[in-house]
Amino acid sequence: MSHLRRKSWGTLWAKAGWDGTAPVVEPLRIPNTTAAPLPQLTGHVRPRTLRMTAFGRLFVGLPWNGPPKPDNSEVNFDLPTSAAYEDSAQLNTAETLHEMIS
Amino acid sequence: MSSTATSYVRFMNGYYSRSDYFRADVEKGTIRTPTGTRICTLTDDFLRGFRSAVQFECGKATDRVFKSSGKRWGASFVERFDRELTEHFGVPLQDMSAGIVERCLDEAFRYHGWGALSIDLRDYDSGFVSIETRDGPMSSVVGTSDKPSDALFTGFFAAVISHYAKLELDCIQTECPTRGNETSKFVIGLADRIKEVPAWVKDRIPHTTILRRLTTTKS
Repeated sequence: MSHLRRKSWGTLWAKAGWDGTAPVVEPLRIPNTTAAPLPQLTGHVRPRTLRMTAFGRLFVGLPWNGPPKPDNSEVNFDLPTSAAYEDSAQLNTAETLHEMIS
Repeated sequence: MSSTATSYVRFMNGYYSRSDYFRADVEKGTIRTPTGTRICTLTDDFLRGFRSAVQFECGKATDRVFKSSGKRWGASFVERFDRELTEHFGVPLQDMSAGIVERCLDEAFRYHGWGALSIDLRDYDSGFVSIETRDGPMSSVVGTSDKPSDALFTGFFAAVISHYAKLELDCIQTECPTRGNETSKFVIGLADRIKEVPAWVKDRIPHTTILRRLTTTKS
């Protein structure tokens, strides 16, 4: 969850899937195999080939490249660089913070 | 920013942990924060008596009264929190890293005596956020009880997170030391999506199970 803590505070709460429309795991969708007619069984198509065709169609559209990656596009960890910040910046909590964000 | 081989993030001293955060005026008998907000210190005995008095006056509506009060308190707190930290760090709070703001919020809790706070974002994508507090003021003075005792903080958290999410969110306490749990745990989400939680809490369903049910239930 550390990538979430690198988001800006405003973005963090605005982008939460409060209404449940952003599930972590996409539901598995199996194409409707009856939507398109299967090839007619003719003399030169063996039954085994037909079964393989239907079997193959089941897996069209699955996320073969793995689950969706977390969206890091809005990671924002720019810290203030104002003069006031620079003057009074301290390092005594830096290690703790570094651990927290890494 | 320094450009050393190991690039540490530089972080200012905490706003709430600064030595002059609570400023006592002995002549006037007041304690104020640097921005002038009046601070009131309450003893455990006072809290215990106050809670008993509200229970006597409000009966079954006690938790609703505490929650409503917590919402008003949270709304005014978050306004101060925003203003003071923005002034302290020199950048709008909304633009600061969530990790830093969470740390500041925890610090605010600790230095005001409201306990230690942590935010659990594991179910963030599903629209639920958990908050855990340890050594909260109410749960530590109530003793044992059938019901969770931090209704004040359910309203507080609902107001604070609603402010940032720009949505009307609700918060329900799922675990409480008064019921034998180690810490207080809260779940935050849209009111309609967590409406079944109070019944589960009544049946003493653990926090993790409640979250699993919420995240697997279609909204």
